[in-house]
Amino acid sequence: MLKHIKGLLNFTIFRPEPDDPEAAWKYRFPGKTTVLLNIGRSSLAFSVIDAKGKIKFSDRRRGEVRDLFVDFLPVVKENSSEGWCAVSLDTRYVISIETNLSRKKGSELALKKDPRSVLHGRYERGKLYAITHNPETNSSLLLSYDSEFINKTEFTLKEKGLKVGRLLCGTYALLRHALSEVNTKKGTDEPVTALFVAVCSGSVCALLQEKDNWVEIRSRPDVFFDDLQPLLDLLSPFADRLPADCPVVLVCDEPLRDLPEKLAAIYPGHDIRDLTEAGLLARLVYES
Amino acid sequence: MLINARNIDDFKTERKDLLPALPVTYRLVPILFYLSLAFLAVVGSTAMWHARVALQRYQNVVQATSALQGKIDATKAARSELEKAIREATDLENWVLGSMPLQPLIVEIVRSMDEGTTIVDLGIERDPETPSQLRLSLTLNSDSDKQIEETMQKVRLLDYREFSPTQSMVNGNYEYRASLLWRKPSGPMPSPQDRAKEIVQP
Repeated sequence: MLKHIKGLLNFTIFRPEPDDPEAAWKYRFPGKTTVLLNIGRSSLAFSVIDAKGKIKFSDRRRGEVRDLFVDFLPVVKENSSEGWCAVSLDTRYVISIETNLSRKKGSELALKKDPRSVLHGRYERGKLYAITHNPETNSSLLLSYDSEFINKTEFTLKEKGLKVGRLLCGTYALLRHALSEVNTKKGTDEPVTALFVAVCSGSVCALLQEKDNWVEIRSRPDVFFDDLQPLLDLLSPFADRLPADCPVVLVCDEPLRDLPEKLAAIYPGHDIRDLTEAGLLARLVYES
Repeated sequence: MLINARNIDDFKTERKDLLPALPVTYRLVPILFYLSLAFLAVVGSTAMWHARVALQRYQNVVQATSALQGKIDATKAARSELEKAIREATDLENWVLGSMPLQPLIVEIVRSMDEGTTIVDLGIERDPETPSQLRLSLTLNSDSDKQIEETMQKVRLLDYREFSPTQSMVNGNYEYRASLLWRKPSGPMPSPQDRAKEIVQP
């Protein structure tokens, strides 16, 4: 009761609760420093986000995640408001193109509560899903995680004294960001053709869009750490299939040295449009 | 094609007891609370200031009242002193005015004394029952009682006549007592000024 009265008097009761997924990060933690964790299969990174959504400092290391947590945990706890952090799970996810999924009103909410009613035959037991519909065609991007992996991750973080404010797939969020930045005109009058390349903490997702149709996707977590060659190897098969004058839209969570030039080298004659900016994923988390 | 990607898909396990944020309009409650606190502070401080000023004024009034009361008491004391003095002066005036008609009589009695005769006691009293009569008591130390006769001769010249005279010898002194009656009780009484004129005549 006293807590509620205190919250009423200092106006915090009018703000969304810290673990309210419907509210934007900046409204859940106004004026506070939070942390974005990037958890990969064999890498761990953290970025300290200040009260304005900018990254104060960050670190990324390769190794056993459990061991890396031992090193990072004091810094993460010290810089996160009461242990609240956003987590980007950059491993053990699948992004695929699906067709003819239900688009009834409320289907996105139903996908979280009862995914079988939306996915029907494509539903797999023990999976959690997120979906992005192509508004002009019957195709959709489907992201899936093992619910057991999600639960285990949450439990591990809770065990270490951290509170998960948002749990997302960084690659998927960046891909959606790139799609929204390029596909900005409603209707089919000016169809867009582009190759979208989203890179987040060593995970890659490449989506080929031809005249608004999503025709091919290549997504793989934990592709690279420092060496970009595995990433280029994954993307090089698109070179033969890219239509003429098809731009390559690149979006990374953090700028990767020489990546645009190397992409230009494997996609000669194609424009490289780089949407990457420093702390992009942190900004997306902060604003959403 | 238009794709809106403002929201990020969240896989966090949702809390069941999560409550939505209160409506913005409810912010009026704490705002009104703080406004009322500010109002109370302003009104309270104003009231305290007024109370302090009123107390100061009250103390000033009490001080002024006590000072005035002191002045009133002093004035009353001075007035009673003055009234006492007036009363004494009035009594003295009354006595003077009352004794003024008798002064020629007394002066005449005193002037009638010969050498070797002294007045031991002289008393003239107005009879309360018959104020027109005077009771004369005269004690003389004299060789003979002729002095009494001469004195009464002078008194008769002042239009007084004596009756019921008694004369005795007490301790070697002649004591004479008589009642004096104004011979012209129906005539006009001389005014004090007329009497005074008679006093200054040798």
